[in-house]
Amino acid sequence: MNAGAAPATRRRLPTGWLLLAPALLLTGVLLIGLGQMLELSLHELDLSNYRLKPEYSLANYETVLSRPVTWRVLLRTFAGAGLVTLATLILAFPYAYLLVRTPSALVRKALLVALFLPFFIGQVVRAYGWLIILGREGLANAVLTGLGLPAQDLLFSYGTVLFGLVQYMLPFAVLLLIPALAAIPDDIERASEGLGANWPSTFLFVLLPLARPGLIGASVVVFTLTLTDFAMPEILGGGTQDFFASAIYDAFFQISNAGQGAALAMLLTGLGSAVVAVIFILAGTGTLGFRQSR
Amino acid sequence: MTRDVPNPPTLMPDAATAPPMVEIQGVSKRFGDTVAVADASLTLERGAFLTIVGPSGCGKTTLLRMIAGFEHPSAGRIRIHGADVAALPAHKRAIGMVFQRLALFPHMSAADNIAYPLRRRGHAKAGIAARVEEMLALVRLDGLGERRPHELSGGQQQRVAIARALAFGPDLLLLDEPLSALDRHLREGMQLEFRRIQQDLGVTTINVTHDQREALVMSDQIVVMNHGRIEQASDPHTLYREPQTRFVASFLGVTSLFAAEVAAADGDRLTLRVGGETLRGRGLAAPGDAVDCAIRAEHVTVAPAGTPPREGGNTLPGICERVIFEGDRSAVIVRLPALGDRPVSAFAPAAAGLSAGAPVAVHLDPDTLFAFRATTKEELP
Repeated sequence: MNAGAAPATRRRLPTGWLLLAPALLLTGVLLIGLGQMLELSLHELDLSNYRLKPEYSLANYETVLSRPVTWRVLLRTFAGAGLVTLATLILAFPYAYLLVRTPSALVRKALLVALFLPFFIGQVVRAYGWLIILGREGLANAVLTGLGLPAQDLLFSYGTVLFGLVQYMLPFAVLLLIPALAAIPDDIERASEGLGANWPSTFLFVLLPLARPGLIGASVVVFTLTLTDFAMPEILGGGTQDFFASAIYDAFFQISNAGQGAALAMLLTGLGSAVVAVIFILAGTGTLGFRQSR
Repeated sequence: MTRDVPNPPTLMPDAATAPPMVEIQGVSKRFGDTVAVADASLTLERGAFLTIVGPSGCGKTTLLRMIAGFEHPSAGRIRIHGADVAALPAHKRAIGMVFQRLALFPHMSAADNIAYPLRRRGHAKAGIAARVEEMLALVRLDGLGERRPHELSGGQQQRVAIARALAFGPDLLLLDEPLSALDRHLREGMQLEFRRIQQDLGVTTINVTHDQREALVMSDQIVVMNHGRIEQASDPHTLYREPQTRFVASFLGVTSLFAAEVAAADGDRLTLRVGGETLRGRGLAAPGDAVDCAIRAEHVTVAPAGTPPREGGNTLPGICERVIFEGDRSAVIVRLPALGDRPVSAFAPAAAGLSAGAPVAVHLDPDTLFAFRATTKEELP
């Protein structure tokens, strides 16, 4: 008999699944956490003993949704995330484009170093840095007064928070755009030019559509990171420009209402996921470079 | 080795009243310390098909990109239609180009690719649809307009690329080795197809390739480049028969090269002295010149020793070294004592009954034995 029959029946090692296991484990932990958060959000705080009531109810959601402040902070957070995403992409695109297309190795190295350097400085440290630069006695106002202009209150405004966030998000967006732009052969741009398109047309009709996977990826990452950001609005906003994460923090640690905090967290997670889902549905997962399903 | 080509041969002299379609005068291009193109001059008449051929890195693509407007000459002048194009950006030159990797827009259908130049040039909507249909028919892709490039075969993508380049009716078509990625069978088909389309439309074309066969098959005029310089510019027949430099000769597949001295010259008929023997050949040289002689294997005939010599001489004794049976004929490598025992490639009828080691009579056809001034060692490719 053929001895080769034995290996055919031997079970093959599920290598693929084994390699996936650590990632699945991590995702599993996150899902468990999410489940606990959901469970927590369904228990109302009992003000008589300051413990969560054992019975399930939607009371936390009712309270949270009925308060105008929730909607105000929600709007500020989502609008901020949208604006930051837009501004970041507008700034990141030329940066990534130059980095990919420059014929000078020196320029490319300089751009790469400038891109990675901020990663060595944490967000909180960076926010405090801006606090010093933009403060009443800071560098920015020193320049303004030096030019004979009146000093400005630059801190604790919505604009400053968004500025800090854009500055923080820029490297992420550039990193996600680089592979997308590098995948576009420069002959494609030359072809467009040779066929009679000036640069704005080439950008609009060729470069932008072909860079779509990178743009979608970068906007999803920047949008979700901004949506859940805590430090920048907290520090640069000085409590006047709270984002939703601050509201969640306050519910947990200022008023010690874990149920309500969990409800707020679920609200943010749900709405954020919905936005990302809409982006993916509109753009199609194929734009991220996955094989197009037919 | 560089020959001055002050008046490169031009084709279609009847069109002499109009300015030539392309006129390149003393164009050079330097990238830092490297000279990509050195003092290139050529003229191309309307409707002609010119191929620039040479090994990779010879500057042919750089020259093409300068014509297209993607690179700017460091020196010299490029005229299209008699007008200097130095200040004209690529998108304002009426030039269609097919790129090496085709550079089709992957996010657009074949029809949209072809319509792209028409839209960017502001053609009327109704006209565009009709023109796209016309171009699809020209390249025999009727009915495939809605396919994306990745849904088309390699040959079909080539057709889309050429249709796109020609859609807006350019004065000039530039081909940057678009056929090099295809397998040999498909490539040969597309060479004839490109030539057909070019002749149908009468569009002036400059093709760049490293394939000497492609150059001979497709062109009215061939420019051979090496190390950034134009070695020779002529029609395919002249180029093939009468290479002017050692490089051109070896690039065009001349298998046997040897040194000789000119004994006498009568027009382009030369009497050559080599190793004590006298040979007749052709070329432009003066008595006393040291020359290199080139001859193709198909112009060397080998017969068993003792065969009565052919009329007109040019028969030398040799030793048969190898015989390679090729069916209808045999490829033979012979050594000629007169040429310092240099191996010379030849063909013999399969029935000649040659075997290795046999003494043979080697006849070198005087009409195709071509001599050109010898090059110094460091100029050799």
